[in-house]
Amino acid sequence: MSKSNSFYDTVDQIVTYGIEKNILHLFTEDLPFEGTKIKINGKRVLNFASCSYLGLEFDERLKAGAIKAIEKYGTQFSESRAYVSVGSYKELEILLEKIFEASCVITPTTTLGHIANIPVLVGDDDAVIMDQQVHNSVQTAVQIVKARGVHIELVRHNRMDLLEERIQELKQKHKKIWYMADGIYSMFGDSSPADKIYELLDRYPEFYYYVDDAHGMSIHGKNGRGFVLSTHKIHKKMMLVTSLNKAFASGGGVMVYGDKEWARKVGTVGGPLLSSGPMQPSAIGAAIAAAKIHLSDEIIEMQERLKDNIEFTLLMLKKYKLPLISKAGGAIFFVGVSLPKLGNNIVSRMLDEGYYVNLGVFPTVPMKQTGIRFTITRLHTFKEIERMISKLSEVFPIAMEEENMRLTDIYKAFKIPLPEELVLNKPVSLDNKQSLLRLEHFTSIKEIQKESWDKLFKGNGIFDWDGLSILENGFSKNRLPEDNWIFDYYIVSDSNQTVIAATFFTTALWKDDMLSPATISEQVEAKRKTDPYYLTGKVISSGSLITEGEHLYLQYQSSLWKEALQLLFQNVYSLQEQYKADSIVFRDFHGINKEVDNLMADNGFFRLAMPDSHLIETMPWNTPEEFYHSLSVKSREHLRQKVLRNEGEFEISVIEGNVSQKAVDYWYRLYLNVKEKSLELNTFALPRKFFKAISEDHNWEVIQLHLKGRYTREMPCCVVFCYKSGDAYIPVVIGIDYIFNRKYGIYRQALYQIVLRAKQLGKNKILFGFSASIEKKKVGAKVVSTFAYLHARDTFQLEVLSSISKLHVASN
Amino acid sequence: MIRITRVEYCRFSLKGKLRLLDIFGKIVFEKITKTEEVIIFEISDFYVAVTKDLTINSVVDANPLSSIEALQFYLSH
Repeated sequence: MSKSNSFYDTVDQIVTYGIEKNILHLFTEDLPFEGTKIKINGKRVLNFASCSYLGLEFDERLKAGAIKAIEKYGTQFSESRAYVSVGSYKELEILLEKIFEASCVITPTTTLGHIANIPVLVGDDDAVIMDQQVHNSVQTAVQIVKARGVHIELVRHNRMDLLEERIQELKQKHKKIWYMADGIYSMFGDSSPADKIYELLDRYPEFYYYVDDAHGMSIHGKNGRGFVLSTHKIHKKMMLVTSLNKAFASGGGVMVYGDKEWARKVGTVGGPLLSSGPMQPSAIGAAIAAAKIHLSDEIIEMQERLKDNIEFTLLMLKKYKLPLISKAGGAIFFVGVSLPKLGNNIVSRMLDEGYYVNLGVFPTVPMKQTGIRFTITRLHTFKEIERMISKLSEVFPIAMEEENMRLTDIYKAFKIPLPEELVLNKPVSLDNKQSLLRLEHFTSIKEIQKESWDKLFKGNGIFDWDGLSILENGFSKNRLPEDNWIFDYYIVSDSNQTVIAATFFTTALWKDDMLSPATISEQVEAKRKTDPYYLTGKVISSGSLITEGEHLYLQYQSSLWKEALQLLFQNVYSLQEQYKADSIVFRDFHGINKEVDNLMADNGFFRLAMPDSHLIETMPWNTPEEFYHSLSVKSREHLRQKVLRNEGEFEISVIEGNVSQKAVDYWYRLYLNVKEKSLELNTFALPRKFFKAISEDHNWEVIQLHLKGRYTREMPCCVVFCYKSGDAYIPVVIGIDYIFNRKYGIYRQALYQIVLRAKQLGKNKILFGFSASIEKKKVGAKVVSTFAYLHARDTFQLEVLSSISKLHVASN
Repeated sequence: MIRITRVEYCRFSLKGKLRLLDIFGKIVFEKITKTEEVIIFEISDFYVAVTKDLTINSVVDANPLSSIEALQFYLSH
């Protein structure tokens, strides 16, 4: 499954969960609106989610403007603007040019505005730098120029120092450098540092500014021209797109140009202006009425009333000591809750109490930066605002207690210091059920009784007691940072000493593109030639980079399994702080368990599809002939044609211990041959020392394939490093000399020999692991859909990868 | 009760100040002359003098008093 599909699956998982909890995809009921009140789920609630910040949607002049336009022109004038537009379009454009004191072009939405602008304004020799949090509609439009090969990159949110560094570098190679950002950011509600950006515009002739100020429109500046233009005139190297859908309360998007020629060009050739439908007459009629209000002194009074409401909201948030995450630049507020489970709980409680607020959740914010997003409009009264915030502060601790969370966790997740007056905040007590559990933490497998660990994990992979001992030795005291792992083991038991949950974690350096499509990894690897640790990060993972299989033992029969998992979460979050790890991954879940899935989402883990895993579950045959007959007709034909026909060309041997360093070195070269081709699961190469260690361990053995007469005895064409655990046979690492692979089907032969060897050893199952699905199925392996759950502290690296991924999609 | 500093209070517009006083202020004194009406409010830990120009029938000012002496001035005149 590709990374992009996986992303949509993840969003689907989160949104569907919100829908099931009755807090997303809601509808108002069929009643006239009364100012700030709407009816949802059979209940009249105060709406704190409207982006119509000035409340103009109820203004009689806008309503009359819309009605008059419909009566005059009908509900739609369905002709492309390239041919003919209703006359009122021109009237609106003239009014908007008065508001902005610059050339304007109108589009039916801001998204279409970006699609019209960006491909026309950004040249093939230009570079684009997007703020990490720039609105999704800008990012979508940028994909069009990315497909033309335009250089695109992301910069951390509002980091002007990094932006300047990038300008200095990129100006050497690119004609123009476009910085794309929002005026007021739509989720956290903070603002763009406009003063600093204007300084950069003046300092660097190559630097251009593209800003989406949809949430700043109307509420700031002379005639409501928005946040960015409230303190500066439009710059000649600047392009501003804003919305008439929000505080303007009508519809459409408006593009404001620092350069008149840009307006002419986009108006002439901008894609949606050539071929898409125009704005509806009703929206134009309402917008004309709104524009006239903006051009009158009345707007000043409206802005003042809204600003009073914003100031009052800040006072109330301070009074009730709620964790406001950023300085509000407009009328959007974001109270941090960290994990989605707390956000879901609070939004749901607030709805029950008669207040509708939004859940700010992944993908619009990082997973562990979930929050309660609410907006304030001019129509709210001080009393309504205070009642809502006081209710929020009332439900907040109740929900925290219920979800077993502490205020310190929330501040930590947003990387902001806990206010002094809250330092003594009493930590919530452990969930009652959790107090029935006992968690043990170990830092080496040697601290755990072999028998008790193997009872849980023997036969599941190479992570039984012996296997882990070898891993601990192999991945310590190495020269390269990626070859040194930290091991942590957890066992959660109930009062009867029954194990309810157990797993081990390794903390190691991972490549961020490990699960990305190979084409993405190819691009990233090209960069790693000069910067070996580009897009890498410290990850705490259940299991390790070499183990495969279900690493998490959960006793589902116990009524305490969810609490046991919660205990594991709490402890692994602490490890994340201790090791300063970027991400936590729970790996290799075979299939989706809905309850685990929801619990993961609640705790800030999103699901990722991993490559399919493969296994032979039983081997009810005794001879190679019987094995042959156990296969499907097609697989039998494959085996006959591609494997058995060449079998006589090979000499097969199994090596157990007593191996020379020379042989290990040769095997390692064969392994590197495969590693270089295996970008599907892109990891750092395993250290040579590990191969020496496993070649000397009695649980491991090496199947060698020699091509008769082709090489000397010391030069096999293929080696497979296999682990024996209980009734399972586990081929873990393979090395191949590819020169004769195609002619003799070396890889296929190796798979066949693995099956025969497993049987010879009396094993009942083979854990084939990831990749080469078609080949493995042909020797009777079953395909198992495998998933991981990822919790990222910061999604910047993932977003960079995603931007590479989108280029891949666009260029195909 | 609301906790608000003078600086925070001064960020509000005149109408906003009056909305605040309407909900959270406590009248401590009221005085009417021929041309103006002055009402002193207590809010949080300071006092505010609201001045209404009776000739135009509208509030023209709602600023915090700078000191306790200023309050005493209003009380004694």
